[in-house]
Amino acid sequence: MERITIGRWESISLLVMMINLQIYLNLPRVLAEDAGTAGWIQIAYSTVLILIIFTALSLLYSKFGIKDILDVSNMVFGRFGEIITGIILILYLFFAVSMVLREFTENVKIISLTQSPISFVTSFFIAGITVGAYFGIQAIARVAVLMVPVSVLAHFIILAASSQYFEISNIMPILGNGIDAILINGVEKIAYFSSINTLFIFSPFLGNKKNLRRVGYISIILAGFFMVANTLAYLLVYPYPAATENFLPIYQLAKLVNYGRFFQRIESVFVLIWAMTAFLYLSFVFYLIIHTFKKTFRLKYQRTLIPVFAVLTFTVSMLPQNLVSAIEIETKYFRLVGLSVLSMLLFLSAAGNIALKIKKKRGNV
Amino acid sequence: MRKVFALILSAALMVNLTGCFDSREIDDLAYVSILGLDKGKNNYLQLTVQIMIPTSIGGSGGTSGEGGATESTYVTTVETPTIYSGLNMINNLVSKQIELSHAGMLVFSKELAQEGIQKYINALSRSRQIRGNMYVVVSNDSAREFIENLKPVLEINPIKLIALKMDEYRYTGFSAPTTFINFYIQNKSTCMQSTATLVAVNRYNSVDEFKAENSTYKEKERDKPFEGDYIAGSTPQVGKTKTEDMGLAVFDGDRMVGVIDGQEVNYYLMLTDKFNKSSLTLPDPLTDESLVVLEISRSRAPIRTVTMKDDKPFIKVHLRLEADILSIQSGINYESLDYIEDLQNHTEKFLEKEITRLLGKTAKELKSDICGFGKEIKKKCLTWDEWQKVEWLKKYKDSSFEVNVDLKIRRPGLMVKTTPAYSSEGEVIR
Amino acid sequence: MGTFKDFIVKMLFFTEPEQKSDFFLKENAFDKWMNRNSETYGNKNIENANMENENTENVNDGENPSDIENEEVERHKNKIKQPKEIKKRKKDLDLKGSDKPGPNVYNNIEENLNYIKERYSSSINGDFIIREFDIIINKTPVRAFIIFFDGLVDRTTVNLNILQPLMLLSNLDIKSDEKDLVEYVKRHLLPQNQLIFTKKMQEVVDGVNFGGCGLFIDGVDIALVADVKGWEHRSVEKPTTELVLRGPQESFNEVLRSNTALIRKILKDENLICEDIIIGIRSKTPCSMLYIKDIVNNALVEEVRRRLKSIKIDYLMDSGELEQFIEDRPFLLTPQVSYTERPDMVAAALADGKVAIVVNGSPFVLLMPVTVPVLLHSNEDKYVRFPYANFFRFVRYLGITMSIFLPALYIAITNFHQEMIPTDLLLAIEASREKVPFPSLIEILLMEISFELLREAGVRIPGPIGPTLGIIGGLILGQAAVEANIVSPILIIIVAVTGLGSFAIPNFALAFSFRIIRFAYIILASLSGFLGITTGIFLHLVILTSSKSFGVPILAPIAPKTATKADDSLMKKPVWQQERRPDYLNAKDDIRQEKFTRKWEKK
Repeated sequence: MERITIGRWESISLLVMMINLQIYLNLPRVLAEDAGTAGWIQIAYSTVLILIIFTALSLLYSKFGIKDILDVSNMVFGRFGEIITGIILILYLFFAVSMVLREFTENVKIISLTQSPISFVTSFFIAGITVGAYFGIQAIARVAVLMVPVSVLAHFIILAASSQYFEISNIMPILGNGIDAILINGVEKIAYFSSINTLFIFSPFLGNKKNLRRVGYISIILAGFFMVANTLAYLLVYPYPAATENFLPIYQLAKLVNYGRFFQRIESVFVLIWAMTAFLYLSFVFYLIIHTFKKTFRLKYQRTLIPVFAVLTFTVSMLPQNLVSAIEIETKYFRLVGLSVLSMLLFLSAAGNIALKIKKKRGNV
Repeated sequence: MRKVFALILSAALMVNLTGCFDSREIDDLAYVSILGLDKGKNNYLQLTVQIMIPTSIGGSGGTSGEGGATESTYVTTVETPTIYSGLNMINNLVSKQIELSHAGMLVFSKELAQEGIQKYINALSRSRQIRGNMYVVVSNDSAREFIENLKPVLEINPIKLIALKMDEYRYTGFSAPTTFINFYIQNKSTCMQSTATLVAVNRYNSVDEFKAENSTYKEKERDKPFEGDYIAGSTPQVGKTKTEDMGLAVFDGDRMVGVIDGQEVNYYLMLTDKFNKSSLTLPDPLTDESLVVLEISRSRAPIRTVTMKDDKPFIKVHLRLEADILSIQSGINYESLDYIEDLQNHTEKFLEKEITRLLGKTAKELKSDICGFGKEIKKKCLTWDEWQKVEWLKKYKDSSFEVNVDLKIRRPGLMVKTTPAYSSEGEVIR
Repeated sequence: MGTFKDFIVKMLFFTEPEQKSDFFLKENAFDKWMNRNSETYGNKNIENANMENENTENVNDGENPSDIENEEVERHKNKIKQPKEIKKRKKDLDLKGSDKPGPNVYNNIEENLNYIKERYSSSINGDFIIREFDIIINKTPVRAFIIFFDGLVDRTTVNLNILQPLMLLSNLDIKSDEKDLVEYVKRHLLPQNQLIFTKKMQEVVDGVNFGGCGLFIDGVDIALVADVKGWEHRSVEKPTTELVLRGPQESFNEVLRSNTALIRKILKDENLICEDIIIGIRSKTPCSMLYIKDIVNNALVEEVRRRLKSIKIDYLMDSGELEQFIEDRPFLLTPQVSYTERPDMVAAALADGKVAIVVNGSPFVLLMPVTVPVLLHSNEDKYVRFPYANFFRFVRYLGITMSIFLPALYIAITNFHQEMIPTDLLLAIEASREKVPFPSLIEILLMEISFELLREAGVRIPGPIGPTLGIIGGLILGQAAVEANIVSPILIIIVAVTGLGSFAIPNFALAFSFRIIRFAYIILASLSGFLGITTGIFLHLVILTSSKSFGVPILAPIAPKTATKADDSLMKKPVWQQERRPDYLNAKDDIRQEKFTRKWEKK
């Protein structure tokens, strides 16, 4: 079998899409709650922080070429370590998929399909995810490179079209809830970039070790810019205390688009774009789960795992009783888990470097 | 193997049998065009809805419809504790399911507005069906009367009527774009207060009933009322249109505390940079009995500066306007360079006086910062706590104003000067 | 991927689906592929071709094809045993004459005659002619006879070039000292330009079956077959399906050699190779595979040849059948091989680095590999100035989008997202729908199906009634349906616009596929509005991006992006800027023209 590679732009689209998904879920509102009118400054600050962390991580990782994190843990801790790392990664990805699936179906239910039972809506997503994971990462990456520019463009159209409601005084006072609120709470916001972890899981597909760094930097910068733009637009329209009310910030922005009697209420078209982003994200992470599972336990076949994990995801996404608890679980624990996986990556790369040095010494001596 | 495949195929096809839970045929829905809220006699609320009848609006298919004599809407009123329970009751009455996504106007009655409408605004903003550009208006009489009398004359579609009517502010300046989203944002904002267009059913049935006492011209020290010196319901007009919108209802928080009349809405629009153009009548500078009519339009955004002088706001506004001459009754050659300065200065003074009067009214009587001067202070603060300490909305009532108008008369229309008429007694001079 | 059925069944039963080998058109594959012998190629294991990877892990998707196949074969063998009669019957049916050695030509003319009479059932076969005559050689008459099919041969050629010289001119005094009879006949007696000498009966039979004239001479065990094809055929006419306003108006006809001649006269390249392949055991249809040797990627040629040679069928009728035998995924709705009727299209494709297959008896020539953006191009885009070409392309894309999505969007918006419609339009639609008894979904399906019926009927109606029926059907039926309140008027507009959009697609196979896909989208939209449409788009795109046509991803150069993406895929660059051939073909010679072609501009 030919080794599957993903091009550079395809990985960038995938990563940008994965990080941007948080915008559709609840990023602007959380930022408004934390930092008041300076939410956009906070996310810019988080972008800078994650860039620093990523630089450190990629420097540590540069000796490993394009091995993925499982191979690194194998090198450091042996087979046992690889299994532990694999299990942690699988749990993290699985958690991400189920919670995002639940949130997205709830969003769709609130926006358009108010009366359908939630299992009906989830089954659409599951069907799409299953087929996507079946056809493999190359197909998903190519669809991503087609759809992500369209989605970003549509997004900018929303932002531009709601500009008639922009009011500069809504983001004043400039420093919001104060410098400490921005800086200190900004540190935990790097969890929104936690999708960058997946770069180290699918790094073998990248084909070239220079690509890893370039892909990472470009996606973080693009995603950060996009997040800042979105938060800024949202805060410019809704004044600070009211900005913390809305459950779906970008949907509310899309609802405001109003040019003449004919170009009104087109938010359903944007639901189309967001659902496409959700499909891409979910099928990609799902594929990564299966890939990691197969690699950790050295299985022979991969596609037989798809129905199993599909059913599991469906069930787990039904676990939270209502939307608010789903959001809470996602924000509270997802941040923890994301940050901890990131730190695990750092730790493992550092340990891997040390292990390499020891091996060299042993090899020489 | 074939049997297995057949089983799978039939299972897949059964998805279609699950039906489309959300699919509602377009003709199974009743579209509401106006919602009205009144104070109820035996309950909290009286809810009125105006429902559009599509067959008389859209015409029927291939055959030609009759003339426009058929009703295009019908109105229902129920008494109910809340909005949604009222909609439930109306769903019971009407044959189709109520759909709010095309509603164009939300009418509050004056009594309800004076009690506080926060809960209704919050209830409506939670619904996904409500449009952001639905107009919020306050009716001087009851909402039900207003809705029943609002009939489209020049068009058939009530939504088009509402959209066109509420857009009139662009060329008359007697109302403001008080859409739901604007109302909501201004309501929840900490630096300005919200307004709603004032509407009412006209009280005059024939020309003989016209009274001048219902106008505010006396407070403005005028001899006769100018065109904007009325509030909704008291404009002297008779005709097929029974309803009118003029003036704004001013809110403090979520309660209505007062009204401003039509001409003052012009000034409000100028101060908040929503002004487009309108016509202005003012007394002639050099003679006393004639009037000059100008068409003023926005030249540039106003410059507003706010400073706190020992805990009292001092607000300075610099307006920049342009004007074209519409009519000079006295025939004096204001178009020439000698007199044009006079006209400009006189207009500027006139406007400054009126605007200062309006601002003083909002500060002392109404105590409500509708023009949003708090924004200027907010821009200067660095953190939110600082802004909270300013407590702008409390302090607004102590503010003092200084208004500066910069008006330039650009075009005189088609005439460059007025030559008098000649009569048997020589020149006619009025 | 196998068939849909396999996929679903195997997914449910937790078995791993079979891995067909995926062929990848790699750019460094030229000489390696040329030097491989056919055995290792036939083993379907291309893993060895990936040499130049760095010290990285080989990320295999987990399946080793040969292992799985062996396992499956073993399992199969143990499970199923065929009963003996079927085995025997299969042997008998076993394709006639494929590798059986036939009898040789007999020396004695009587034996030859008897064999021929029996083989061809000449007493019953009405158009089979046997003409006996004598050749005078060195003043002695030698018996001979020719055989041919009346109607397949050109009678004049047979008379003048075979019978006349043999019968009459053999009398003349020919200055030669040739002793061997056959050589004498060949060199001096038969002024015919294509002659085959053979000892095998089977070759004579094959030649005569296809318009040859077999000559048997007494006392010689070599028979001659002269190519005197001359049946009635269509001349070169205007193309029937691919009309352009500007451009050559020739089209292929059914004769193989005249088709290849039409191509060759445009390209005039000695590197244009025209390989002969015979497909079909009984029909022995001659096909030609054309490619330009120093441009095309050899791996592609190898793959096409491999697929053609491995087909074992008995009759091949038309290139449409051949297409279905060699395409990658027969169940995919999008075509993976394109066909055309015009020689200039074939010549342009060959100059790009593609391979063409001409089948005798079919005026449609197959081109491979094909990508979806290329299917959306029309021939006229090359000949028309580039602003117009881009404008037409834009209109075409609009038409395509409408033909797939418009009915689905209508259902999604009017059933699920009514707030999107401007209020005036909403009331108009509702007023017109008030009297219609059906829900929107049924209305749309009714109208679509009747439109498809109309199109099918319109194809077969003869002569002058055809276009009139279209007009009658469209206007009066539609109008009558609206008057009878069976459908609402807005639906007529939607269905008509959809139909028009699908007519804008230049390639018919793609248009057919859109007609089917449209129904899938309608059903998805009726299930859940825009979410259903999004699911449909996602599934459609995922399936498309993972299918290949002869090793080239079918959505290249949009996904994956290649170097020459912007040249001619969606919007066309002007012809003097197209310097490179399409990148996904990995041709040997990538550069078409220099960077600066309009040299007169530089003075």
